[in-house]
Amino acid sequence: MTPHSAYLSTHAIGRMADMAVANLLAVARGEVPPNEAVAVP
Amino acid sequence: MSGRRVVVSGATFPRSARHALEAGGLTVETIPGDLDEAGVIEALRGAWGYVLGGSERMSAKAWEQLPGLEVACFMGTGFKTFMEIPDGPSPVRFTYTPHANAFAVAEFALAQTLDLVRSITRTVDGVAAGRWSERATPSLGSVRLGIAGLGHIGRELARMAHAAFGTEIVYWNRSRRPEFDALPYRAVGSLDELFAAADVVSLNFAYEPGGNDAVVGAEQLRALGPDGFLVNVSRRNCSIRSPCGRRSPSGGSPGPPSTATTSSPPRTLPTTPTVCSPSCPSASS
Repeated sequence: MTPHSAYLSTHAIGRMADMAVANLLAVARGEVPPNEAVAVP
Repeated sequence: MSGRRVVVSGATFPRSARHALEAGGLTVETIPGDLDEAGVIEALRGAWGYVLGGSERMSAKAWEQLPGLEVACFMGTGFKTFMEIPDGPSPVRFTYTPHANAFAVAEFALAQTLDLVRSITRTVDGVAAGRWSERATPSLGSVRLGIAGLGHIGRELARMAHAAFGTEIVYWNRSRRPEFDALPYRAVGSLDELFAAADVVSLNFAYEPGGNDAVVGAEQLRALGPDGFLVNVSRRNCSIRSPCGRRSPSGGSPGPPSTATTSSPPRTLPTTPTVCSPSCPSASS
């Protein structure tokens, strides 16, 4: 079984953090964030 | 933007990302990644933003208690389990970081696959214990790898195995995607066919509660056969029904939904770090 922590590489963490920063700064500027999560029925 | 406070949970958020948020006029504070919901709500009081980088889970109702919060970001792809989004309108903008983890997860799954097929951990442990193995194993160059779910992680795993080892790839995807036709892989028509056709199966389903719970059971494991291997990359409740309802060797709960380590063939492997190579790495069949 692949554990959930399998994603924990510095490369992946860096990419995710960059995307998180882009999302937050977009909202701070009043823009639509690049990766919006929507509820799935 | 002064006065906007962002709370980041977990220990993995890089310093460079923190600095980028601060350069954008935000203040950043971190909290542990294992708080319960009440603890996170308390930490988020008055916060403008939230980066969910730990293992905490936030229900749809939690957001109602955070009137000042304007944005939440889940660090990962499968946000539904960790960050429940309200059905109705919300003042919070919910965001996530889709598929940034695909390479890392596929890399890990490939390592597990290689470990299983070449019996690396077992051989190394045996050598360390003074047992010399002369048992030949298959090789990733000679097995057929079945990819169940050709999403971002499944595609990356297939690409890695095919490029690095020349592994033959068969796959099943629930929806037909014409763009997959150009890939050097063979599609099969059903999950059952995949288990029958492959020597090693990797499950790569995104969990959909109520939609794909426990999709693999005794019939698929029988089709894979006693020499087959199964690498479960999916969330465990979406994939494997316990064939006999027995307690798993790893001490998991008996019966469905699911055990990660089945008690009958094919073999699966609990995650075990491999720290050295044995002296017989060329003994492949």
